Amino acid sequence: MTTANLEQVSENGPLISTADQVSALIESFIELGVLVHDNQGTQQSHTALTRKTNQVISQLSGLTSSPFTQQYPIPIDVFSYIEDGRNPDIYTREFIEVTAKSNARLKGKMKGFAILRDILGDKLGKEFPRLVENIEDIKRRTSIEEVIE
Amino acid sequence: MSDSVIEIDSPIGHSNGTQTKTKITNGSVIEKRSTTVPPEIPHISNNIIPLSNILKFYTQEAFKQLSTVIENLSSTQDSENDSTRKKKFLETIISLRQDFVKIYTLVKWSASSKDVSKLIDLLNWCRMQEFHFDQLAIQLNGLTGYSGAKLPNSDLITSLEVFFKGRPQLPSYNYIPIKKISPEKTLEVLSDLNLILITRLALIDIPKRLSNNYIIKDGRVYFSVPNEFEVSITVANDLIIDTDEEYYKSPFYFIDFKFLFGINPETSLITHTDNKIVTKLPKSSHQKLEKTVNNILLNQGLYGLYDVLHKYSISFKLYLIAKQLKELLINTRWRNNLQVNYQTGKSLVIVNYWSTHFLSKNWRSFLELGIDKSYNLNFRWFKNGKYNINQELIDALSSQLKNSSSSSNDNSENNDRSLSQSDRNDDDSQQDLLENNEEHEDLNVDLILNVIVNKHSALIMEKVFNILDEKLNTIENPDQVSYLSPQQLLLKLSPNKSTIFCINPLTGFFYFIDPSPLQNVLTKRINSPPTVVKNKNFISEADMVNNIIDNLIQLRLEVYNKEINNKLLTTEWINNDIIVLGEYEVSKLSNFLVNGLNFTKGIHNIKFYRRKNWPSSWFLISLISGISSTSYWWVARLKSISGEWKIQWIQKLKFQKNNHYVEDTSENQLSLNDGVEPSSFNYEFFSSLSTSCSNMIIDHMILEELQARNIRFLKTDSVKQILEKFNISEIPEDEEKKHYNGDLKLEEIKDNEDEEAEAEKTKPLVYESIILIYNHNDLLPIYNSSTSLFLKIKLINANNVTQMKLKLFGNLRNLSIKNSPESFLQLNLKIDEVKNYFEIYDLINLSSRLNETGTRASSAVSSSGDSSSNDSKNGLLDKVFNNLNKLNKLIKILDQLNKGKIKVVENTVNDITISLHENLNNLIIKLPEKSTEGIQIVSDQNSKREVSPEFSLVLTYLNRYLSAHVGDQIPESENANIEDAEAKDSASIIGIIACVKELDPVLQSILKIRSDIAKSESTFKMANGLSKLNFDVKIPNLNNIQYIFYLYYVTVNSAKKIFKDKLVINLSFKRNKFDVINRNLIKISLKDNLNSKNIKHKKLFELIFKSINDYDLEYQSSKDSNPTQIHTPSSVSSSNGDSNSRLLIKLNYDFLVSSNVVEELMVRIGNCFIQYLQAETR
Repeated sequence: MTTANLEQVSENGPLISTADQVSALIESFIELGVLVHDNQGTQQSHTALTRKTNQVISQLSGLTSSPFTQQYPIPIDVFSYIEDGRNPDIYTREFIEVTAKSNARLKGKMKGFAILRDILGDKLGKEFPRLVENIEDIKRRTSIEEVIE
Repeated sequence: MSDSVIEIDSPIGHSNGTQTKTKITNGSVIEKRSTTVPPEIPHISNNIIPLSNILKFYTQEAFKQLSTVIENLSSTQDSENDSTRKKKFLETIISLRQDFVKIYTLVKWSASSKDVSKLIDLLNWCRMQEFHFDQLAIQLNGLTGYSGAKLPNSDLITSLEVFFKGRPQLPSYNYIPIKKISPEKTLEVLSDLNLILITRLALIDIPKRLSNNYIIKDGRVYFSVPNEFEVSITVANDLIIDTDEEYYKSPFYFIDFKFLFGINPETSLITHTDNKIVTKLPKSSHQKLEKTVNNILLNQGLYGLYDVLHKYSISFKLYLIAKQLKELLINTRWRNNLQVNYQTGKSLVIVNYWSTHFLSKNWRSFLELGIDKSYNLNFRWFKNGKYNINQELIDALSSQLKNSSSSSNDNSENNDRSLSQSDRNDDDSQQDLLENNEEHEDLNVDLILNVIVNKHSALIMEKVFNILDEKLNTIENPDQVSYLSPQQLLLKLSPNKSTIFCINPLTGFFYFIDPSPLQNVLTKRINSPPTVVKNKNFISEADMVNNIIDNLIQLRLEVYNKEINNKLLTTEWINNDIIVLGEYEVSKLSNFLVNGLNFTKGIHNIKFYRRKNWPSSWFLISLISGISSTSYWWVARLKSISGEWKIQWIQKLKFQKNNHYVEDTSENQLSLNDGVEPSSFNYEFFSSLSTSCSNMIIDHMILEELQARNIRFLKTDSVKQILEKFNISEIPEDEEKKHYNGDLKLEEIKDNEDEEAEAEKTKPLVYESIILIYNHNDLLPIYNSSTSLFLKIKLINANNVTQMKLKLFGNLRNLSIKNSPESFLQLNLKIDEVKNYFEIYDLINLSSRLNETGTRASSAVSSSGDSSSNDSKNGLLDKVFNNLNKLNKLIKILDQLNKGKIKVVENTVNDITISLHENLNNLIIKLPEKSTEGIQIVSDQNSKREVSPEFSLVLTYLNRYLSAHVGDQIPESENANIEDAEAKDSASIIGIIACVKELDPVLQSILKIRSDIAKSESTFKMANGLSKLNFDVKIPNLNNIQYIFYLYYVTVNSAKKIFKDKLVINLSFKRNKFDVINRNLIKISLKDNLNSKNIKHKKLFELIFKSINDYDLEYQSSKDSNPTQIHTPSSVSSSNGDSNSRLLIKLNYDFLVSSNVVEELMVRIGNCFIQYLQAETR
């Protein structure tokens, strides 16, 4: 999944319209720049410039009130990535990798501690038979299998 | 865990999906979920902004910027130009656009923002879980620290006591003492035991050594083995056992044990004295022994007991010995010389003595102290590679060792007796050592070692002595080596020096008492392994002894050599170390020795000496032997030829018993000792050695010179007899004063003889020898002398100068020398006509001459006696033989003159003056200075008459002839052509003189013609005043005399030119074979003038012939008185035996005339010329 193009999915709808608006705005900015640059001081060019400026202003105001984009949370890290001119997909990828690693490690720990729990429980049970029931209960409650069921 | 937890948890156990939200605190559940869905993962909203907020912010910001820019544009319309404003506006627009590009990217990314947000939550959750696990681990670890949960063990023992007794027991309660056994009871039991023991012992076999010495008392039996141990045993019940089978029922039990020896506290030696000193076992050992012995007693009975204890005590003794030895190692004289090998528990002590000596190092010689087969203490001695059994030593030492453990028969008294006996048998040193000991002496290791090493060293010394004794041949030379003590040898190093050669028994090393540096060096060599056997692993004693012998002989050689060297050096001999003789040359030396010396280096030493004034190649050789003290001496001439020294001439010096040098004669030979005994190496010997050597060299040189002169000689010692044969009773003495006095009367000499004899003694007459010289008619005419002459050589030392007097003497008789003794003195010649005796003496300063002549002599030898080179130089004998030669010549010439009846006017030693004719000058015959030169004839300068040039020419010819025939024995071969045959026999001088006589008339005629021509010269002068006649004489050789007349004239045709005609008249000697008298005739030849040129002088020739005819006629007429004279023109007229008769034979153009005619004839011919010219002039 990259930012190259947006999928035409319903949930992306606000995003697509926003993106269109932004690209139009950018286009307008370019045209405005051309106009400013090529301005001969003539009336015609003044008119064109004024019109274009107003168009940009209206586009800006259109973007300002885009309430559907509220739903997209942007981490500041990503923002600063873009600000620095870096690809935000890299951020995405790295984050996924870190999470996967963390998950794997956590799984190992869980398995290890499950074994420890079982052994400890058995020993305790042998030593203190009165506690066997409670131990079994703890085991049961803390085993993943049980949770999945 | 409390019960309440169990109760509460059980019904809801399955409902809790995760552990996080379920906490059991104080037994109650705080949170409860009823669904099966796990709880939500907590959402993270920190640092997360919604996209709309960003958009809003950016658009508003953009708007703000745009409006600001646009406002600025309007306000700066005047202040800034358009382009600047455009640019600013553009910049703003571009930056805004860029911002929105980013926004665009962000918007696009936002598609995945929801997923990312979930991932953030997930990661956060995972981290939390991990944190929990960590916490769990820390808590689990905390469980190990539950120390408070431990409890101490219960006091079971006390509990048990309490359980059994109802209360804890305390020690102070209720002790009941055991009742004491009464002495009576004890005594009773003991006596019972005694009884039982007696019975038991009576019934069983007791080992031999135990059976003799036991006491039963105190309820036990005490066995004691003298010098070993005492043990007490008993039984435990009162059973009487009489068979071995039942012994087990009541075995003996060990009670006590002690050694019956120990360390004597006074001497710290092992002692057994009267069993007073005993050694008890320490407690632990005792207990151990008790256990062992009880076991042995049970199983093996008393025999076993004895065996064990015997071994035990001997081992202990060995231990004590080893201990002693170890002490010896530390701080006694044995330190560093001893090695001890003892291992505790082993029954062997090995003592390696002389441990630093190569012979004994590494356990090559040692003493074993140990237990022998019969378990007695014994020793074995190992040396020289094998065990050594020396009975004497065994006796000596076994007394030491065995009194502790000797066989059971020996009681102490026996021991003592045998000991004292063996003591007496021992040698002194041992005696000394043993004297200090008591009757029961202690076991002294020191002593044992001493005995052994002393014995060993004595044995080695004995070997050394035996070999030395044999080698040095002590039968002939006693006192060369002798014992001072068994370890010390007195060795003679040289006749005057001796040394004590010792062995140190402590170390095995050898040493010299008061050693010289040389001895120190040799000591080192002796005490190091011999080089010959260094490769061998084992050095036997024989090798060592041989090495010692070699070195001792070397020492003797060196010392002896040094001694002789010193003596020689102090007597001004110079040592020469450079010379080394090869084997072959050395064998030349040994040829001189009677018993064929087997020359070996190391045993013999050859040294070379010379004296300062000796010729360079001469040496004195001394040969010294290390074995015998006899030395041998030679005089030799050595030369180094291409690096090797060769003996060129050698003569052995022989000495009589009194060591005076003697001549080598056969009669002396027997009484001669081959070598020189050292007893007489005194100053006298060495100085006489010098003289005798010098004499031999001189002798040799003289003989060599004689040989070079081709003179046959005989060196003899029996001069006296030979002299008597020749009637020379006394060897004449020549003293200086006689020369001074010039008084040669022999009687007077004889008178002086006694004085001289006395003077002779004080005078350092060094040497005298006489050589018999064979006179083969070449030295002196035998007629005048004899076949033997004598050359006496005498060396005299005067004023530090060695003078050599040479005296040649012999018979001389039939002399006809008119002489004055004074003139003979010039020749150092004395002639005693009465005694028919002559002598020639010469005195040579040898000291100054010796070196040069020496080199000369040697060079003469090297050039193999080249006589010519010898002659050119000065020999020692030159003067003498020159003088002899002069005498010889003188005698011979005088003899000839006498025979030829020539009047001798005068003679001296050097010349003889003779008168031939009244008219003639006296002739002087000069004798040569050197024997090799010939005689010379000169005209007497002092004579009144003038010597004509022709005569001197003739003399020159003659002298030339003489000198050309110097070497000839009969120098008259040429003269024979001239002279009559009678001259042949006599020596040359007669012929010469005859020749002069023959020539005399010719010479006279020349003189006459000259004077005649001079007289009448004025009568025939040419117009220019020159004489028309010129007369000259040419003598091309003695046989051809030319009278040359030159006739000068002027022809009519050319008045200016003077012509010259040469008319030659040849005179030569001819012999008429048919002549009765054998005489020389003279041929006068006019033949040369037979040429056409001389025809014009026809008148002259006519005159000449006429004149000769006239003379003949005159003669004929005068000859009438003598009828025998026959004269015919064609044949030879001979006179009968009258040599003085005149003879004139006319041939065609020649005339043969006798010598007495020549003069007149020639004068006439001369006159003819004068007449012819006078006539012509007229």
